[in-house]
Amino acid sequence: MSVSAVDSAVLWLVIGYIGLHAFASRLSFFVVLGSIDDVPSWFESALRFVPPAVFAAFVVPAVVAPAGTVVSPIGSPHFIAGVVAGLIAWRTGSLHGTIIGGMVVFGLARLVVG
Amino acid sequence: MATADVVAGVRDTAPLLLGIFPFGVIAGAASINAGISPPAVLGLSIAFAGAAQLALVELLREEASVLVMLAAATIINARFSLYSASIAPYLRSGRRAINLPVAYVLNDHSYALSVVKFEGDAATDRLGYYSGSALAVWVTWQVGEIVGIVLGQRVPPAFGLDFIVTIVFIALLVPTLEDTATVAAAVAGGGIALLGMGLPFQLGLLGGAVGGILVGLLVETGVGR
Repeated sequence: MSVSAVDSAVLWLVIGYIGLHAFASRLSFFVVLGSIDDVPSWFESALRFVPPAVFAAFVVPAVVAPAGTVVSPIGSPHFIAGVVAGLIAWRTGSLHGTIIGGMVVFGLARLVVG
Repeated sequence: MATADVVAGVRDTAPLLLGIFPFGVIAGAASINAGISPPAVLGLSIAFAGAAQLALVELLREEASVLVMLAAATIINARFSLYSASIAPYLRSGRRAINLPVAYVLNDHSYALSVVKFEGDAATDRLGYYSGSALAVWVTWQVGEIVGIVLGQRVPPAFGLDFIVTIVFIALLVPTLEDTATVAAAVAGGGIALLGMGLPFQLGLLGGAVGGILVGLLVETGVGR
C-alpha cells in the first residue's frame, strides 16, 4: 500500500506533468484563436470513446481479478459489489446511490465471505 | 461582469456541487490512502483533473511505470482541448491576464452548462455566467479534496478505500454506455486490460484504453455505413 515503485521526486514530476498538460489543453484554443471547426473529426470522435474504454480498462480487472488473478465470481466481494454498483448506476443513474450501495455491499460481502 | 449572470452561473451549478464535493473527498482520501503525501495531493487538487488523479491513484497502487501514468493522464485529459475549442470563441479575451485563469478553471460541468446556455442566448454576460459556474466547481473541488486529505489520514487501510475508486469508475462508466459503439469500446477496453494483466508496467491497462478507443471508432464507422 505504498508508492514504493515511484519515489516522491518522480511523483512530483508526474503531478507537474498532469497539471501542465491539463492547463495547456484548457488554454489551447484561447491562444490559437481557432474554434471547434478546427478540431479534426477523428479526434472529436475518438474522445467520445475515452470514458468507456478507459474506465472499463480500470474496472474490469479490479472487479474480476482483484488480486491479479481471475477469481470465482461467487464469494468475491469485489465481484459482487462491482456488479451491484453497476446495476445501481444503470437503473438509477445516481452517483451517490452507486457509491454508497456499492461500498455497503462490498463491506457486507467481506464480512460474510471473511 | 454582470453580477446577475455570475449569480445565475453559481445557481445553475449548485445542484451539481452535491456530486462534485463527495467526488473531491474520495479523490483526496484515496490519494492519501495510496501513499501520496498531503502536499502532493494538494498539488494534484490544484492540477484540477479529478479523473486523471483517480487513475494515477490506481496506477500507483498497481505499481505501473511512470510512462503509463503519463500516457493515461494524457488520454484522460485530452477532452479539455475539445472543451477549449468549443468554448474559447465565446470567452477568449485579448488580454492574456484574463485568459489564463478563465482557461484554468475549465471543467466538465461548467463546460456542459455554459455551451447550452450560450447557444441562442446573446443577452447573457457569458464570461460572468461561466466564471460563476467554474469558480463554484473549483472551490467545491478544492474543499472536497482538503476534507479528503484530512479524512484519508484517519481511515485505516483495511476500510476498503482502494475499492471505492473502482466504484466511482463504475458510476462514471455506466452512463457512457449509450450505444453499440460505446459498449464495444468498453468491452474491448475491459477485455484487453484483463488479458494484459500479466504484462509489465500495467501496459495491459494502457492497451485496454487505446484498444477500446480504436474498437469504438471502428464499430462506429462500420455501423455508420
